[in-house]
Amino acid sequence: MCLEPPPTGPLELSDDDAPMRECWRCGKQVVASVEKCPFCAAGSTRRAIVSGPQIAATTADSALMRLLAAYVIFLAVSVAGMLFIRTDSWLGAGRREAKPSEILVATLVLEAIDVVVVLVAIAWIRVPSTVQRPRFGKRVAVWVAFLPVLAALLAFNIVYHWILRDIAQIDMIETNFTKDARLLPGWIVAICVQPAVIEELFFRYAALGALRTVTGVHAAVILSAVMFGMIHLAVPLSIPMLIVLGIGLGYARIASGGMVLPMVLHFLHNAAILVLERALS
Amino acid sequence: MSSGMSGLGSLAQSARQKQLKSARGILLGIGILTVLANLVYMALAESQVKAELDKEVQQLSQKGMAVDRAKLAKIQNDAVTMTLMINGVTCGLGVVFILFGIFVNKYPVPITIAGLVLYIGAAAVFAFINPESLIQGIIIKVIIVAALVKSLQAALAYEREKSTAAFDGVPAA
Repeated sequence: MCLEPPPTGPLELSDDDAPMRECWRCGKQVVASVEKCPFCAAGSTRRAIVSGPQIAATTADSALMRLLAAYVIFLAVSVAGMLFIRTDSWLGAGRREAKPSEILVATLVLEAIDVVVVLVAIAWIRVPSTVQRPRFGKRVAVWVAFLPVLAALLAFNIVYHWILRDIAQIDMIETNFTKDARLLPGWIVAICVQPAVIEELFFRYAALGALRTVTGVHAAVILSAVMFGMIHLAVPLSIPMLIVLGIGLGYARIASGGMVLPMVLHFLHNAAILVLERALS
Repeated sequence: MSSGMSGLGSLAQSARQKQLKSARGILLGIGILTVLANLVYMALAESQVKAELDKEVQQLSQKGMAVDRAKLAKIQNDAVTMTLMINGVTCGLGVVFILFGIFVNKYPVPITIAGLVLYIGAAAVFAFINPESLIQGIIIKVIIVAALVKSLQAALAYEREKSTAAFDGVPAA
C-alpha cells in the first residue's frame, strides 16, 4: 500500500489567516493543519487505490512479461527432461529398465539444468523489490507460527495421497528407487535441497515479486502457487495439493519478508515425504 | 487532465474493454470445449480402455502367449479409474476457465494471468502424458496463447487507466 503525494489543491487564507486546503474527497475548503476533513472525515492524504507497491508501470509490466516467458522456458525444459528420463532412450532404446542409480544421475543432471535456467531467469527478470522485511521480533514469531502450518500442510499431503492411493486405488509414483541407502545423499540433494532452493528462488522470489507489482498480495501468492503446482508435471494428480503447499510457502515468504523461511519449510516438507516414501516402500 | 485528454483516454479504455470482452470469449470457449470434450471422453473411457487392451491381448495371443484373465481385469479396472480421474480433473479445469470467463471483468489482471498460466501449464502436463498432444492443434494453441497475452496487456493497461482515473477524480470509461 503506498501513499499519494500530499494534496496540491489551491491553498487559501480564511478570515483568520489560517491556511486552507481543498479536501480531496468532498472538495470543501478545510483548515490545512486539520488531520481529518470536518465534513467527510477524509484524512489529509489519501491512500492509493492500487494495492500493489509503487513501481513504475513499464518496469512492472516488463518484469511480468519476462517472468511469463521464463516460466514457459522452465516448463519446456521440465517437459523435455522428464520425457528424456521416462523414455529410457539414454539406456539404448529401452533395452532394459533403468537402475535407481541411473535415474538419480539423470534427475541430478536435469536439476543442474534447472539451476542454470532459474539463475539466468532471475537475472533477466530483474525482480522489483516488493516485500518488506518485518522487525526481528515479528520475524521470530512468524517462524514459530509457521511450524504448525508446515505440520498442517504435511498432514494435508498425506491425507490427499492416501485418498488417491487407498480410496481411488491410484498408485501414481514409483518410489522404490529411493530405497537404496547408498543413494540416499544423492536423493536428499535431488528431492530436498535443490527444489527447496531453486523452486523457492523462482516461485517465491521472482514470480511472487513480479506478480506483486501488478496484483494484490493474495492474488500474487495464489498465482505463484498455481505456477509452482503446474511445474510438477511428472505428478499431474498431485498438482492441486502442490498448489495448496505453494500458497502456504507464499505466505511464509510474505510474512517473514525473506527467503530463508520458505526454503526451510520446503526442505522439511520434502524431507518428511522422502522419509515416509522410504518407510512405505 | 483536460477534456480532450480524457476523451482520448476513454476511447483507449473502450478499446481495452473490447479486448477484455474477447478475453472473456476465449476463456469461456476454452472452458466449455474442455468440459464437453472431457465429459464425452469420460463416457467412452471404459469402452476405449477395453478396446486398447483387447488389441494388446490379441497381439500377445498371436505370439502364442496366454493372458491371465484376473490380472487383465485388474489392469483394465486401474486404467479406467486413471482415465476417469485425469478426465475428471481436466473437466474441473474447464469449469475453472468458465469461472474465469465470468469474472474476468471484475479481476482482469489476476484472471488473465491465471488463464495464461493454467493454459500453458496444462499443455505442458498433457505433453508429458502424451508428447503427441503438443503438436495436435498447435496453430490453434499458438493463437489462443497470443490472444491471452494480448488480453493480459489490455488488462494491465485497463487497470492502470482505471486507477489513474479514479485517482484524478475522472470516472473510468
